[in-house]
Amino acid sequence: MSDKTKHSDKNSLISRFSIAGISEETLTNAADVAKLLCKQSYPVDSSPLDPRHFNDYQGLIFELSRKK
Amino acid sequence: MSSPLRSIEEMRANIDDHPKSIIEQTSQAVSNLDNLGRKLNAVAYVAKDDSIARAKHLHNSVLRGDGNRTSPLLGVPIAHKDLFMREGWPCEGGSKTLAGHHASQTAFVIDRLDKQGAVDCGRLTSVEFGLGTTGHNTYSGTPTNPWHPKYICGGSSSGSGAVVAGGIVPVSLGSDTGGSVRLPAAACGLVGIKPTHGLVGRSGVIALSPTLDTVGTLTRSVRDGAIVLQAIAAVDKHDHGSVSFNFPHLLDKLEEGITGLRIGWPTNYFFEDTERTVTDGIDKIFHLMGHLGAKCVDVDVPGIETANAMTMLITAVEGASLHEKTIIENYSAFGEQTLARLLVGFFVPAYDYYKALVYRAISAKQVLAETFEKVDAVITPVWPYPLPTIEESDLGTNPDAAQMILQSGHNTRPVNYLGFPAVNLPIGFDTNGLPASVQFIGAPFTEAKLLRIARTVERELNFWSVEPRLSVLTK
Repeated sequence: MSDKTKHSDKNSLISRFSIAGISEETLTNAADVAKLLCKQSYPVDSSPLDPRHFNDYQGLIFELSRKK
Repeated sequence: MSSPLRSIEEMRANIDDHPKSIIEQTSQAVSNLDNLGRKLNAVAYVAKDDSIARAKHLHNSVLRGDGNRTSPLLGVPIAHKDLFMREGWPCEGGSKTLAGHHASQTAFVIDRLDKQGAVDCGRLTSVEFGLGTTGHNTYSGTPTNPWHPKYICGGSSSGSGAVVAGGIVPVSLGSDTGGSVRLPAAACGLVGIKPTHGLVGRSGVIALSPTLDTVGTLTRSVRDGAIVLQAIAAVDKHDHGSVSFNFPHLLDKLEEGITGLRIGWPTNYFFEDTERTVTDGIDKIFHLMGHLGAKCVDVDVPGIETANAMTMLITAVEGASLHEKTIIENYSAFGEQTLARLLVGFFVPAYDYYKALVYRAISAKQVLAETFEKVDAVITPVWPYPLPTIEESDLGTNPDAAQMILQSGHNTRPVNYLGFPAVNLPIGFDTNGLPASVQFIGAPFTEAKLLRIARTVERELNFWSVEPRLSVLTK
């Protein structure tokens, strides 16, 4: 996703919640924390990422529950 | 009066000898919840009439010779975090946004405990919707630690920690999305069990993050924890994440020791940024376990470095999604910190949330293959520093507390991301004289082994020979 698109999304969200009455400062802080979390959570090695893995977690738990 | 620190088995034995003690024990628990529990800021609701009526019903059943007389929980008074619903009872989730709300259903686990004959006595203070690690709550009050009233109970199952440590009830259920059972258990000197993802049903428990939420137990002993986990581990058809697992009888091998079991000291992540005194305390336990027959080795936990942030990211997105309508319509009813944490979720791009979910299976498989093929359990800290006071960890009055609070879940959140089980065990006292703990993490569905490890260490330390300083509270 481009920085321009991300910036636009951020502004539209700030606008949406500002209308509800939440201060712009609070919303900007939340956006900053979100940005930091995304940066910190980037997998060390993202090469094995594959959409098929989306269902793998529950499958793994089911498989392990049958094994023991 | 008998000691308030009786175990489930002691209470149960009492009932076998004197059935009327079902009513006496319940009356005492209700009275203590109403008095000492409220002094500790730990009580959201005391179900006096319902619990006494329930105790009388159980007593009559025992006299008639019917009912579940073999249940280890028959007549045992309990109370739970204010996220667990019982039809008709108040359930506010520690939030002004649910002020005056009454539950329209009964949680799966509450129903399980009912069927075992336990006596539900009330609801306990929670951090708002379970979103916080220190226990602070500007709406329902911040519980004080029974070991010292200036200190936090940890969160988010803060009231649960306070009343069990205070000897009011022997067990309480809590929920754990990033450490909310283990952190208060550690702060209050309790055994906290966070089970494998899917092992314990969650329907009827106010959700924070359906991907990461688990239901766990807080007790004063490993045996009590095992008894309660045995009672609640079952398939919940209303919980999409619930799995069927043929649990062994947890008490059977609990006393068999740890000879030959492999305990791993993590060489990456967990002890980073941990205060030296905390590490030293756990190092002593690690060596003790070697003397008790365990094989103690160093082990790597690959890829765990990002799991802390992944957990916070998933929690923020799912929490924001669950509370979106209320935020837009009535944002000022939320506590300031809760609102700030929830709002983060709206700003996380879908791409990053999806990536965090996709990476979960990869990460879990990697840790299974490279860590838990080599060891039976990993030993880690819970709190990375000595327990803070209520004042110094209050973000509302002390903005400098932000880093401390962020760091509080460093050792617990990654376990929720993996969905693996973990047990918190008290091991002594920190430099401030408050309880200190270790966490044992295992592979999925190895709760029996983790509890056996914890029980072996518990037997050596006899932590609960020291009672909390409740006298401070009665002055």
